[in-house]
Amino acid sequence: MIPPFAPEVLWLWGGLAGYLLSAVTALRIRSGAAPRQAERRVLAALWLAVVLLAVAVAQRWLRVGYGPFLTLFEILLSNVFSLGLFYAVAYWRVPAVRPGAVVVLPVLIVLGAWNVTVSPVQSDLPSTFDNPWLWVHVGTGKVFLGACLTAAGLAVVLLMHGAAGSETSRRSDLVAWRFMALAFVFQTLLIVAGAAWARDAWGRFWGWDPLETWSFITWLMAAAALHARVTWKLPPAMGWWSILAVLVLAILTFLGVPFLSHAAHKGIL
Amino acid sequence: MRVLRFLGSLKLTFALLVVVTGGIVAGYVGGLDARPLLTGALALLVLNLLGAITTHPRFRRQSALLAFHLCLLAAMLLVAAGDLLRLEGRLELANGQAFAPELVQITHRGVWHPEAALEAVAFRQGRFTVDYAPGLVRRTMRSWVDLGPDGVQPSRAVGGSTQPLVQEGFRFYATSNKGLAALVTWVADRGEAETGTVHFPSWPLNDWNQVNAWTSPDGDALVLELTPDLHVSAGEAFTFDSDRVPAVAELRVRHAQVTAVMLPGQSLRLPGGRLLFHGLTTWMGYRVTYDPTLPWLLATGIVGALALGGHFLGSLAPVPRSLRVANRDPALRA
Repeated sequence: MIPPFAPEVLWLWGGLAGYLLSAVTALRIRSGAAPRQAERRVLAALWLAVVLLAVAVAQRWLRVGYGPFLTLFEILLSNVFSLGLFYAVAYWRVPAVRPGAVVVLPVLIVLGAWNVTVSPVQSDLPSTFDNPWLWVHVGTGKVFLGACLTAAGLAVVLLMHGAAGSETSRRSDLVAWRFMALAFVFQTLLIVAGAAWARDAWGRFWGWDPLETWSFITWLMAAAALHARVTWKLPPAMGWWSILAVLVLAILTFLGVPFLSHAAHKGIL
Repeated sequence: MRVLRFLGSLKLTFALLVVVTGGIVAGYVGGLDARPLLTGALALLVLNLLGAITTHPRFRRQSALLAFHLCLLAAMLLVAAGDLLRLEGRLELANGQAFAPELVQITHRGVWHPEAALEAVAFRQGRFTVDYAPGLVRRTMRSWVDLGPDGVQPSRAVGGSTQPLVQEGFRFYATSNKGLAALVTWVADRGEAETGTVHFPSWPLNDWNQVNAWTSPDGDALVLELTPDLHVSAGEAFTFDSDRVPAVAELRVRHAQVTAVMLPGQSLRLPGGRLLFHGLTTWMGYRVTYDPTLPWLLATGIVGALALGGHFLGSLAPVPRSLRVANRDPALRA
């Protein structure tokens, strides 16, 4: 079924095209078909996509009168934008994450492709969303997912490469765990801010609802992964698998639960 | 010392994290009562942390990491203390009615909750307004309470609600549960008169079913049905304003097999006395919570997260120059 037209969908298509261009260039570099200097083109296409998606988010926001917090379309759109923005900054400032582009960009494309198939219907912003803690909660969540995706991108490339022990792998492994640590800090803040919001919105700071429960499980898994790396000096491949597992759990939690329920904190997972 | 070393082992930390995760999943997905398992695992995690602090000098030297873990410890203790001190309940107040502790229907009372604390709370229900978007979608809700002879403090409440009235550590959140009430006086045959309100189901959600059972002070079982002069079109935006509810309404009173219809100012003779119907008024429902540990818990969470950030910043930064240079391994190029 073709979803009803909404003007922001055009900008979304533009952003998707930018990600596609960026991903194709990254894959050409990886396969040796393009020189390393083409990384500039990867970054340029990535920024272009982010700008187009920012326009999509802004247009949607102005049109419906509330932020992208509610419907499947809005949550996907905001994540396709914010994950791209985080990765663009990381790609620009930390060149060591660039190998992960061949994983991260296709993930963004899949999310974007999913986004354009979803009906852009609007909803009514519940009055419980009128709270400053919501912004902290959502903002820290975006950084958490962005850092987690960046770490997982490197982890997957390292797993595919299978060259644990080389100097390059060691450096990439270190960078991947740095992003994992960053993700863990922001995930902690995400949960704290969510609890503060929940107290004002629903009169309790923790209610073991689906999103809260799975968010806590994700936090525990990330904590376990970080402890395991410190404790047992995990074989690198096992560590990369654990990073990937945390990302999968995070996606199921933060994208799966709201998508299945069509409303935050009412998921069926 | 061996016991302490075992208790402080990082391997034990990892195992306990896995147990906690497994317990939550078992409780959530499998529907098992995982509380004993989780309580035990969390208690062991506390001992594990204390053991680690005691037996690992390196851990003690990493002050930011230590601060994060101490915050985790404090958070667990605060959650436990909060559960023991907490009070939760529900409250309905008619327009103009003064708060009284016995009106609170308590749903949870921690064993350490101070019994007399609610007696220090004093306010009187005032006006409330609830804005509805088309489709009966509830938007902004405001409830004002009178805090004293002269002071009127607006207790703005939104939705579930996001801005409670706070008194003596108790938080009163206005809820979506609010509606219409009949203001009545019961005059017993013995001569005593009592005035009060009969609350009907939440309005406008239950506008089709404004019926409630009521037993008079003399034991007459009645069924009251209210027909207010209020009409809501679900397709239009409107505001439910307690000050604009028309006082005129029709009250049907069923007693035994007899039904009588009353208008404001009329009375009805019943076996134990006389029922006077004064007119229509409103009531507001509140959720009441008390947990003095919450501000500390929030502060602990924020300090802990910042300490963790500080630890990673300190231990991992500065990023070696080699990491800032693009990867030159052909297999990892992109």
